[in-house]
Amino acid sequence: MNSLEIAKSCSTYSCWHPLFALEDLEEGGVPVYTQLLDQAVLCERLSEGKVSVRLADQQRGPDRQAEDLHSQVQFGFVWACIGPNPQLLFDIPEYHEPDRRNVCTGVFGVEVSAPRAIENFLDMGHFPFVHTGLLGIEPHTEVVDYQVTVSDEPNEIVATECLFFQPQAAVGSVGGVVTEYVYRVPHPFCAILYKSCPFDESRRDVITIFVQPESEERIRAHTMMSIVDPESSDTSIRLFQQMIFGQDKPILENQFPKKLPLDPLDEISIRADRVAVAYRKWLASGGVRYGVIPGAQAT
Amino acid sequence: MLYLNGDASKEWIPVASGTDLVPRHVFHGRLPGQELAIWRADDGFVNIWQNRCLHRGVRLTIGTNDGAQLRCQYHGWCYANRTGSCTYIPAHPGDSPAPTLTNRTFPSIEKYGLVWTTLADQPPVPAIEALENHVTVPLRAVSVNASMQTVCNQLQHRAKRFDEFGPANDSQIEVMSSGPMHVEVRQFADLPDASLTFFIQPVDEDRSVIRGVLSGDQALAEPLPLLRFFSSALNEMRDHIESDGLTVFRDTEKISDCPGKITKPVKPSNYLRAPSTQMLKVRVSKKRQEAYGVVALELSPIKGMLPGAQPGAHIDICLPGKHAAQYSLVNGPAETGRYLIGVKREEAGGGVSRHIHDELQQGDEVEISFPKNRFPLRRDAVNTVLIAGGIGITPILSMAKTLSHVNLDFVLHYFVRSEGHTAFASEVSAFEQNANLHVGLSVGHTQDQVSEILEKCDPTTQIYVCGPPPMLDMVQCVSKEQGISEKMVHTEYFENPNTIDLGIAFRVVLSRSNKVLAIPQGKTILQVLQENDIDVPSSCEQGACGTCVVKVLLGNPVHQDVCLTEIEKQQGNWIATCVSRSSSDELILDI
Repeated sequence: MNSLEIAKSCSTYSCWHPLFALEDLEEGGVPVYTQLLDQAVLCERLSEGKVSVRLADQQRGPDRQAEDLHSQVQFGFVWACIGPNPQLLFDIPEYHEPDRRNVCTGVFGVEVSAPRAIENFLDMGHFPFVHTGLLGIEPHTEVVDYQVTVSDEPNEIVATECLFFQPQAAVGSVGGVVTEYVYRVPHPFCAILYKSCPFDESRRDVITIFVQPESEERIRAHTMMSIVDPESSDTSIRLFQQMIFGQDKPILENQFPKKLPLDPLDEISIRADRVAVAYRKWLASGGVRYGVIPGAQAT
Repeated sequence: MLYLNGDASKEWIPVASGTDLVPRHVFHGRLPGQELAIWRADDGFVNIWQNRCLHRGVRLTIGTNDGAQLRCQYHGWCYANRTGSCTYIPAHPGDSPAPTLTNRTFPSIEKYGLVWTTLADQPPVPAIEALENHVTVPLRAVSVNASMQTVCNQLQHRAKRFDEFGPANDSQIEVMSSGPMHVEVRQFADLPDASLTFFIQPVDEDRSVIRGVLSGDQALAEPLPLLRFFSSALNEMRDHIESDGLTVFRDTEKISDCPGKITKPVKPSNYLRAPSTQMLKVRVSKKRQEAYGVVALELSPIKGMLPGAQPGAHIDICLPGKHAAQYSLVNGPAETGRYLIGVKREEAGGGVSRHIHDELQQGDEVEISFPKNRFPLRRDAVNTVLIAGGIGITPILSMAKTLSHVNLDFVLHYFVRSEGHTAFASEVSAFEQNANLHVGLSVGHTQDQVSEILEKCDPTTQIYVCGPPPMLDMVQCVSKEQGISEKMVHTEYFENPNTIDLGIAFRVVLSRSNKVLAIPQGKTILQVLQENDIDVPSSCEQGACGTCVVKVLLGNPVHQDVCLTEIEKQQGNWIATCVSRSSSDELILDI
């Protein structure tokens, strides 16, 4: 089976996938190419916040939009689904709170599979080694036990009580603190992180990663922050996020194999990887075949 | 001379120049179907490993070579020189990785200035006559986008053209033989004693590396002009090969279908095998008097390599007809070629130490267990205090060497009876101001000193203590008085000072074996398990080493051991089956 056939047989074919930040498309501008699940697609921003997405090799009939793919704008991004029956897109209630700043923090092309990128986003153990001096610092390397729950309704993974010592947890932080994280995985290739807000103890900042799988081993990672921070400029928030992702990229591109192995014996997991172990199982049981190496039992 | 490995999977293959392995560097090597991380430790040993961390598959070539260990860039997992065994997982500083958690390693030799490895099981070491007993200088490696066979044919054909560019126009090339192993000899007119040998390293189906070696004696006194000449001559040859259409450019879409392309890593074969009952034969390579009543033994492998060990680990020495005795390894992180232990002569006990002192000779073979670690060292403390009494210095010294290696602050306090009783004195004094020797203190003065040491600790200081049981009890007592959290005080007992009471009878239910066994008065759980052929590893059998600890699913254990911590004892989830009992009629065990 080639990649395209895998894409079509995989449960992610009927998921919504992000393509562009709406603000990066010019209204009424020329259609822009990108790739989704091994297929070239064209994305166009129409007037009044509407968008049109179609397969690039699709001939257009007289009714211009009859052949379009399903598309929508959500969280500041254009989303599309190639499959005929799109599943419901998850919500992020915090995004709609009026006093939050919703900042698209950039798209990053990475030579890796989508689930590897998600797993990295869910991982705290690498902070002192990859984000040295920002999200972690030696010798504070311990990942204390945290809780993971997998629910059916909504179908998602939630990790709570994730504590980690961070020298500079966010652009607005001063000095080292133990930061608490909550991770949420509502979509095979999207994850959301909630972390203590340095400006308001009662609220949490939201950081998201929405992965667009261009192919099984190449992605565009769209990032967004929805934060309570009256001080920092959009630019400094973006720069912080881009620095963090810039540190992750070379690690991700040196993972071998690029696809995520679902057989538990292929890679050694430790207690700190509890959420990754749950994620791998969840992908396997959810019929995700794209960007993964199926385990022995799930052939 | 041109030498080609006919079947790459069965021969030694050169994968690097010796000079590629500069200190503290990790070199990226490759064979068909296998990426390699190649690095030289500070002791000179060349490690050739699968280029992949066991944890999340990150290439080890982007990791750090600290001279004794290779550290993965992603989560800081450390792998030891020689063995490739994982020595530390920073996310869980209090845990000790299983000694069999080992990266895939390949054999390495250095010969003719090249580094060789093999995927086969110990094929004969290459011996090329023209290179033996001469000075050898490797040429710059030249990588070519063509198959090994193509490169080989072209080398044979084009080697003659070297004349056209070369400093030795009158030279001759003699083809000695052909076939799977191609040999050519080149004699330079100006340099009669020089010859040239080409080895070809296959990288992929359609990529190879030409590794030439110049040999000679006087001819190589000034090798630079020759190296320059061949560098450009081989570049030119590569351009010819690649422009002659001999290179196969593949459709990138289809690359994953090529058999030579790596699609799946090789699983480490041995990381899940439980080693607890496995024994190992070693040779006493050195025996020396270390201090009054203490000898030091160096134990070297008879075959292969010794399993990796972490600071705080111990081995059992098993002598025929005697109970096993436990000895901590004094090894630092860089010392993976042999185990170093210190043995104090004990007049009481099972007689292992007396046998070691009186009978055991340099060159003798002894049987030991795999290293086990009930005393792991955290490397996430900003400050660490190490306290040793007498022979208790052995694991403490190993910890000090490790902390010093990774540049973490520590202070070592070593209590001894007299100067003459100071084992490993020179190694301790190497830590200079970090080491404090306390000689000949009375019991009361020792306690005062310990009080003073512990008073200076802040709440984040990790404290490790090893020594005679009364000293350990005293340190625990003092630290409790000072309100130091029990979590911060780590001890290791080598003997159990408790009197064991085997008075009460009870039953054990083995949940996984689906068995119920009666434990009568006077017999331990372990003995009854062994009588019923239930395999539970054990070692000291006096509640000190922790080998026989099993999980308790239900019931109230009465602990009589010294290996579980107070917290573990209160939780009641574990029991040392060799000494502990039950206050409930029944204990349900997870075996």
